[in-house]
Amino acid sequence: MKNKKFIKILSLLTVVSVLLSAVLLSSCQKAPPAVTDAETTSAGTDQPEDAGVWEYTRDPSLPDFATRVKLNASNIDGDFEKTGRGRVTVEQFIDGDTVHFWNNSKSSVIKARFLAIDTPESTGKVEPWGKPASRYTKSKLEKAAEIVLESSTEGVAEVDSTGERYLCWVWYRNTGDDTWRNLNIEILSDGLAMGKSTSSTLYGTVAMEALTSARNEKLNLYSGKKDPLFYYGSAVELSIKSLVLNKSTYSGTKVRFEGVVTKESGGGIYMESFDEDTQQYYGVYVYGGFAALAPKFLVPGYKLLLTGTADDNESFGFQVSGLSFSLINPTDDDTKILEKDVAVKPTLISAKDLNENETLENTFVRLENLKVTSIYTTQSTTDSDGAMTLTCDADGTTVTVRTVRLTQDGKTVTEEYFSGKTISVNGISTTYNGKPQLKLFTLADCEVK
Amino acid sequence: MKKIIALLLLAFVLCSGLLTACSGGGTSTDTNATEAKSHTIPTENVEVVFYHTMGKNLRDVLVKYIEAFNKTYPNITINEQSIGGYDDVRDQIITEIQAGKQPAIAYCYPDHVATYLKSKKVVDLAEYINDKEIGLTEAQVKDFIAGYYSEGQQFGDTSKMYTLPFSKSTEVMYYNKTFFEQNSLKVPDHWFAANDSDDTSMEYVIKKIKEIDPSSIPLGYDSEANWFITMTEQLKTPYTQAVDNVADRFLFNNEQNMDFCNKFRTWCQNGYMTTQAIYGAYTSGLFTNNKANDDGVIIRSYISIGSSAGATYQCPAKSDDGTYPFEVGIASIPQADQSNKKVISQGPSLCMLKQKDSKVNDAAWAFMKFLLTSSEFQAEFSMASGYVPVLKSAFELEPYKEFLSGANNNKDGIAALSAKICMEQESAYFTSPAFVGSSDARDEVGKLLVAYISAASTVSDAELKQLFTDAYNRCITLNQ
Repeated sequence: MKNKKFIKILSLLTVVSVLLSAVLLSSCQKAPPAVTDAETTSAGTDQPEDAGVWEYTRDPSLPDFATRVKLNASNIDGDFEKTGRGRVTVEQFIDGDTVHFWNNSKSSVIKARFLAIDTPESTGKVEPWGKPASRYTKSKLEKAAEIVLESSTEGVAEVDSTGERYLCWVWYRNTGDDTWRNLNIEILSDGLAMGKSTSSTLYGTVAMEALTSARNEKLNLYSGKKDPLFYYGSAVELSIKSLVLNKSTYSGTKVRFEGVVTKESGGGIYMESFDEDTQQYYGVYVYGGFAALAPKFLVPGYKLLLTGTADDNESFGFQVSGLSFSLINPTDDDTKILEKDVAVKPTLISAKDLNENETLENTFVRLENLKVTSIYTTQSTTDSDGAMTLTCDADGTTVTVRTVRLTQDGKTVTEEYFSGKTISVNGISTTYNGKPQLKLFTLADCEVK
Repeated sequence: MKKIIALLLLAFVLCSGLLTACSGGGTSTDTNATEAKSHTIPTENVEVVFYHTMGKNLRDVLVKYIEAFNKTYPNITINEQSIGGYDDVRDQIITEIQAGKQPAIAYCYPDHVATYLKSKKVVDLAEYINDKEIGLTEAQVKDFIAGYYSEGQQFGDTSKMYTLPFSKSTEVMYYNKTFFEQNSLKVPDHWFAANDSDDTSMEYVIKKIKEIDPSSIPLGYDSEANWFITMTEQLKTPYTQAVDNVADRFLFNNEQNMDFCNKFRTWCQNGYMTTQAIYGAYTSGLFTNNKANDDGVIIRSYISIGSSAGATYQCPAKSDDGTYPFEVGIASIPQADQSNKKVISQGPSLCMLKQKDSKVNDAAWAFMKFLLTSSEFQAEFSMASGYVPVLKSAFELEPYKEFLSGANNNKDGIAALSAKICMEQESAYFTSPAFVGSSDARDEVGKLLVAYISAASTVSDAELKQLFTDAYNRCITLNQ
């Protein structure tokens, strides 16, 4: 009896096992099951637990690679631009691997691109670990008592592929008694940069050791963790009005909004959209970057739905960047053209509106009957050579109109064109050094009386 | 009865075993089964590390296709890492191979692979390609552009395949179309003038440009190494060969090569040309320059030879008033012999490096196959990067056709125009033999060309000849 009962139970177990096995075996032979979109999305968009806080202190037991190389201290009081070595002070922090320095011996600005390293982007477009790298460089150089730039080739200050930035080793020390520290190598050693032709540079051997150490120790960029200062969440869908009236709220956030392109400028576009509640347009500047497909999308008169990262920084002010484009299977984040050939008309405003209504910033506006009272023309070796600042009177209110370098029949337009005239201008309401101005992009947008 | 019980017990145990194996527990039975079938896509969780050099825009494209891959293979995590430049990828891998920590997949150039092969850590992809279960179909192999595909077989034994093409580019000649039209100049198609009126020779055209704009440097050539190597291909003069004897590998030290260097030296001394090393930056900056120097003079070039993938950098930015300073034309680089047209093949391939756990290699193959046989990925990567697809089927996709149809001489169409010119030259593509030391030869001839053509006029012929000898000797020393 016991045997029969045992056999019954065993038989039942076996049957269940066989059935289960059959089902599972069949699934074993197939490709692994697909993950749903929802699962993929949620797995890839969570913010890290320490979001917003990045604190890093180097483990003191790790080697100090920054002092393993030695600065040749001869001739550090010379002119870097002439001799390839010289003292500087910080003029402006840009990002983790680029800083503008003041050349003490020549009274000029040196745009320095750090040699051997490539930190993730933190301006223009923002990439994971870009902001920590930027903060790191700033924190090191802010405390420095002395800073010296050095080129890789003795006696020659070399420029990068753009021809505009000097390639530098950056040395610093916090007191006159300290050992000079090589910041490029220090950044590598703390895992805040990728290499950039690292091994073939002047201090290539130590720099490579520093980079390898950072990777082995899994520091920061190489930690496999999310950057706590980077926004990984889904895009916040909003209006341009909500975005620009809440800049601090959305700075660092991925945002998605609609708008019409009004003007192209500086590798980007001005976009605006109309708000029914307030019966006015709100505008924003969007940086397009160097994506090969960007020129096909960022066209004046196009109505776009775009997704990018809002950022408010010292170098570029408030803007949206980090757009993506695709002509094949576009994702939700890729820029969409909603409509082409939308008529773009400026909003007629008063001089007082331009000067006092900050909410009009970056919108396409028109001011009429401006009497030009004085003109300043920029003379420089940059693209702004020939651009003009027109100081105008509008019934007792002063208005500033800033032009780009305007051309007519291939020739640069000079002051004579505007001098003493009364003009009506269509342009973008912008600010320069905190002061409002109307930016004029083409003569077609200006009527002269 | 005992037999019945024994049989039932056996069946139960067997089924239980199968259940455990299928539960993904990674038992030894499961592992052994995988090892017995050497090339099976793993079903357990595997991480594949992929080193590349992509910036954010291209990474966005890559990530999109990784997500698509993971819909079929959610158990395979692709850990893609941007390492810096191509040389940084090479240097990082060389370091990691010594510690046995190399990635499974990497961007590569043939020179890099030749170096990795010394460590015997490169996977022969033919094993996967020819695998009946998970390999490439005949149609998939034929979809690759043949010239690109065969590059993976250039490492001495053609039965082995060490790389698969990822994306390609070549060098093209950009010229200031507006200036050429205004001055009725012809676009040069060969280097050296047969006579004083040979107006389609580079020699004639750059001399003419200098007469029209004396402050200009008419021609900029970005890569000195490419220039030297391409000239040896066009002229069929010795450069390198893949042989065992180190002393016989480096053949560039010869009179024929000195001859073309002498001609370029004359151009350089006359102010007709410059290169990246001599100019100090990519010569595209000189080509698009619209800024006056301290003396109020705009120094620019009117011809720029550089990568077809860098077309957007060769196009001047649209001015704030909405106009372009000039239109850009693109043509094939000049040739030395129209019956032996040669342009260099560039652009990364992918190689696979051996892992301690062969399942990682099998998973890496699944991803390589997914990426490299996807015409949509190829087309999308091309549009985002300026490189051209390596699959014929990519050119048949409507969005890619639409992209190419938008080719024009300005910023919004220059990448498409460059891709078209690039594709038209497909039959002229060449690659140099890859062997241990071939990257040294490349480095040395690049430096040699710069030193030779920029040497002061007082430098004697013997000293110039010595530059060749020194470059050769360095190659020998580095590889002994």
